[in-house]
Parts: sequence; C-alpha cells; structure tokens
Amino acid sequence: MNRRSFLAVAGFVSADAVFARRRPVGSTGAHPTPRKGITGAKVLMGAKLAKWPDLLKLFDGIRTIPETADGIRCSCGCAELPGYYSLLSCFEGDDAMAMICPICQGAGKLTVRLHGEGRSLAEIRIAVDAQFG
Amino acid sequence: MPRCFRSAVLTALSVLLLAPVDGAAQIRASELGTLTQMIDGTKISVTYSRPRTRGRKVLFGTSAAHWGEVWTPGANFATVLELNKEVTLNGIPVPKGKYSVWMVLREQGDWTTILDPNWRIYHMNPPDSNAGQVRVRTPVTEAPFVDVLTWSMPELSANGGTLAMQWGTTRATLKVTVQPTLESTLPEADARPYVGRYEYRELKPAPGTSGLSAFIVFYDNRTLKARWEPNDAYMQTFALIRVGPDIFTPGIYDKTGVIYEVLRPDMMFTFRRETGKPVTFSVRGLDDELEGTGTRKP
Repeated sequence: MNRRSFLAVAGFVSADAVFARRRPVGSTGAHPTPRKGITGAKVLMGAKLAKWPDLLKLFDGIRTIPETADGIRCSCGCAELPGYYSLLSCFEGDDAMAMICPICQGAGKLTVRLHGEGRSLAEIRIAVDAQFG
Repeated sequence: MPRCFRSAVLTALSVLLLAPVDGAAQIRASELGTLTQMIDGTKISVTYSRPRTRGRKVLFGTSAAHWGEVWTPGANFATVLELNKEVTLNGIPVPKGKYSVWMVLREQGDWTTILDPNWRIYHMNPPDSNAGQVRVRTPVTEAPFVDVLTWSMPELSANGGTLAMQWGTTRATLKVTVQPTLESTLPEADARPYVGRYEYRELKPAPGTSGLSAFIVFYDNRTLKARWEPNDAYMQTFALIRVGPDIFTPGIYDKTGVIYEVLRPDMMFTFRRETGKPVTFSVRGLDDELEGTGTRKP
C-alpha cells in the first residue's frame, strides 16, 4: 500500500492550485444566481482546444449545463477578473482560464459529474464548497 | 573650441559624474527587508531594517542596546509586525493589527517580546508600557551564525509555525498559531456512524499488487481518524476532517501529533449512506478522478 505516487501528482498540482487560489485574495463569496437565458454558446470548443485535447470532454460537458455552471462560484481567484460571473465564465472565450487552471478544471469536472448523477444545484454547490471552498 | 567654453563643459560633466545618485538607490547600512507568510488564510508580515554584524560583537551591532533594556529587533524605524487575523504567539492571543516590535533583552533566561499598537516609532524611542501592548515570553537559543539580522518562519504546519528572529548566533522564537478555517475535531455522535472496518479497492493498483487493503476508521481524541492496513508510509494514521455532509479530507499528522498538511482539494472522501448508515465511500482527487472505493465490512 502506498499512495505516495497519487499524492506526488496531487501535490504537484496542488502547488499550482494554491498559488492560483491565493491570487488574488478574497475570492470567496456567495454562489452567483444563474442568469436568465444563459447558454453555453461562448464556451470554448473544437480547434481552440487543440493544445488541450484532454479537456475537450470537460468543455463539452460544461457547454451542456450552462444554467448549473452559471450558478457556481469558482474558488481559484478568477472571480476577481473583469467580466467574470461564474464557473461558466472560466470556460468562455479564447483565454478561458479553465484551459490552464486546475481549480477551474476540478470544479468543472465535479459539477459535470454531479449534474450527471441528478444532483440539484444546491447539492452541487455544497460539494464544490467542500472541496474548493 | 574656446578654452573657457571647454572648461565650462568639463566642469559641468564633473558635476554630473560626481553627483550623488538618487536617495532611493543609496546603499544603507541596514537595508529594508520583509517576511510575508500565509498560513491557512492568515497573513503574517514582518517589515524590518536588517543590520549586519560586520564583525561587531555588541548587541544588535550598536552600543545603544544593552542587556535588560528594550530594543527593536531591527534598525532605524522599529520592526513592524502586521496580522490580518488574530493569532497566538507562544500561547498569547494577539489581535489582528499592526504593531511595532520590541524585545526585552536578557543575558540569562527568556526574553520578552513587546508588541505596541503604535507601529511607527524610531528605534531610539522605545514605547512606555501601556494597556494596548501585548507581551510574550520568548525563548532564546543558540543557532548557527548568520551575518544579517533575519526574521524567518523555518517551520510551518497546517495551522501555525515558528516565527524566528536571529542576530548572530542568538535566535528568539515565537510559536504562531492561526485560527484554522477547518475544524479537525468532530462530536462523537457525529463521528460514530463512520467508525468501522472497510475493504478498500484502488482503481489503479501498482503493478504486482492487488490494490486491496483494509481501511480502518476510528474515533480518538475527539477526532475521526483513519489508517490503511497495510499501513500507508506517508499518510500513517490521519484525521478525517469533515468539510461537508459525508465529505471528508485527510489531515496528515507530523511526529508531534500536529496536523502538518491538509489534503484538500487533492484528496476527498465521500461516504454514501444506506438506511442512514455510511456503508461505502469513494476517494477522488483534485481532477475528480476516482482513485478508489471502500465498502464496509461486518
């Protein structure tokens, strides 16, 4: 039994994650209310993700649940960036932060999975807060 | 070129070349330094001027500092400690704020660190005792020589660390404890349902191994704890810290029993209940990939 290899990978990612979470400070707050009529149309797709083929499935997953992703606050610090509204924002635009940020990716994967399991937005928010809050 | 004009040009050039550089770029005897450390959301900053011993044997490199007197562990304006949240120093509560730092220097025994709310004070004017001050007994030990007065945090844990001031071979230490954002203890009534023996199955076992092990959950010292059998070399016995309903993250202990590292968001345990009792759990990483599952055994 040795979970060192798993933790070594986790630790490597975590260093990035902590750095990202602490930049800038003060990213905690209430989850946003999903905007009426929000769609996944701005979520990055296809050729724009050529450098990150492993992320195609995640971006596709977020694109299909815009109302849920728009009700989740991202904890990586991007909430302080201009134009940010929700976790959905992390997946939008040519410079989508979720292309490189392990916190955005982790929260996104958790959200997509729990939504697929039939969890409500309230339940997903609790799980996201438990891991990333 | 007329001689008088050439002379004037040379004079002007000399003035330019010999003129002192901008004040901000001057070399100072005790350059300004800062230490900033985040611990679980608490920001600890020390701003201080850093005298060098330069072979001087006297206290803090100045004949103005004497045993039994109060001195700032720095130079020029007093060393400043800034906290964005309340902490304890050697067990003494220190409210969030900005303080000038002073020490009562003793040739024998512990020193006393004095934190004064008036933080902008020149080093030659130590403050009188006042009700706003915080006084902390501060052990002093001998350490390998450093030439420059240094504030550092050589030890860190999940909820604290050691703040050290060193001059020459003299090191004064303050144990810092911050307000944890996670509570590692759990009421017994909340913990008991999880206690038991589980069969753990790794999804990607190491080559040549079955990936099967026992996972023991127990309650000890007001804390829900767990360990694998066979023992995991890194995790040993760890705290299961509740971060959500049926959701836990491991807190890894150091050799003294203090939680050294919390593995959130890198390792999350989520229990699933049947008829109110936790019967299975999953372990997932930061990327939400399933690492393993546990099933309660009778």
